[in-house]
Amino acid sequence: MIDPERIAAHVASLPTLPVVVMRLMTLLKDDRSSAHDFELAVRPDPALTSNLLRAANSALYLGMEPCRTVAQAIARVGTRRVFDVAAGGALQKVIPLRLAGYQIPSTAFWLHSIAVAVLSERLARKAKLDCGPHAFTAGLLHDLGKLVICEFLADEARALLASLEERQLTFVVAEHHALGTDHAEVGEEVARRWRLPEEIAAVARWHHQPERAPSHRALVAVVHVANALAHSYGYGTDAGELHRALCPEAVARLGLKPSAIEQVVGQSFDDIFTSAEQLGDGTKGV
Amino acid sequence: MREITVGIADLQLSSDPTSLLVTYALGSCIAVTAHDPVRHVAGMIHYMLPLSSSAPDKAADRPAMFADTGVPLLFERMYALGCSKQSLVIKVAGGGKLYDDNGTFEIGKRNHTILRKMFWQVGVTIAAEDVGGAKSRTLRLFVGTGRLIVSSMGVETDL
Repeated sequence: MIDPERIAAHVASLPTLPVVVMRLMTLLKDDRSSAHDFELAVRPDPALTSNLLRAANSALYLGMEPCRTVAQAIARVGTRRVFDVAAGGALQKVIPLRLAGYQIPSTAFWLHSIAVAVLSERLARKAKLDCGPHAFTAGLLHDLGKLVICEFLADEARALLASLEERQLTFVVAEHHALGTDHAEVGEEVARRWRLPEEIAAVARWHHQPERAPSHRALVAVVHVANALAHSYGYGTDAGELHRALCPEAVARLGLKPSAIEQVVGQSFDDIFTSAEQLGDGTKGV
Repeated sequence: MREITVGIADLQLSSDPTSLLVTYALGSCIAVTAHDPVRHVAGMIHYMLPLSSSAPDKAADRPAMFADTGVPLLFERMYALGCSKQSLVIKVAGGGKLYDDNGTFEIGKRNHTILRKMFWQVGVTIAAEDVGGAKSRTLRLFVGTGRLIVSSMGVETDL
């Protein structure tokens, strides 16, 4: 068991969410905002500017004229994608080189986050569920809590893995046994500290127990299933391997046949690897 | 020893007896390995989905994503290297699943069922398999000897 104050102190020591991400979030919600407003928000931030230009000139747009200005890049990728790039950049800044407790390098965590983001967005569309504008980002940030607890988990890793096999526990339950909290609870705290939209905090908190989510149930169900798929298909597999539970209610809420889910998986493949590269800052290449 | 990685939705062959084929994190995906003990040739596919009809546009540029397009291709490529169906030792691993008591998600099982059907139709015998369970597997196939090692949850076994 870890002293909860140590975890709270670690949450408090995370850098705050960059102002530009908050600003883009507000713009995205406001129907009156124009592409020019997005441009004004992005331009003062050199890191975001270079990530955005790289995204706009990535392999996805091969054969098109190179984008040289923020305005051209926004016109090409769209304002929603600008926010995704900004959120991805904010996430990358806080991923440690190695997540010791989960026995994975930052690249695997990044690939998993991107896979869940892409699958969430596509599942929501396929299931025709109204999940709001943040399905991608909610998927991207669902495991925020892992970034905080990975180092506390490192000391418990051996006992934790043994308990998975012997007691058939899921990884998140084993985490709770070892630490007295888990990455879902901690993830919600991080999301609140970053003042992320309510639904992103709800996804961080309930993505392993979608049946208990008090709100945003459609989005939580979508990210739960996307997460299950990402683990099933080996996108960034960690020490927990397949020791995760699938919630039948969440699958039912999507109302998709296995063949429809397989369609989404097949069509997401290239998008996942392209997005991992496109939204990356170049240091987390896969 | 030269390691050749077989990615997700990928197929690789090697006729270099000092090399080995490796695939990581087979969850619900399935790997089929083929080894010719006489010619010292080996091949491995890591496919994700049973049927190419689920994403026909992908089947053309990434046939190894699907069992129905990828597995026949593995055999064709082995035949092109001089192997015959009778000389090949075929092994199968993967098809794992999450904790799913209701069997809501049959991804791994669907991947395995289609393979068995295909092999039955064309008369291919599976020499050994390690399929199912809440397991993620990493496979190492030694081209020279045909030795196949499956690792899961830190335990290594010979298949």
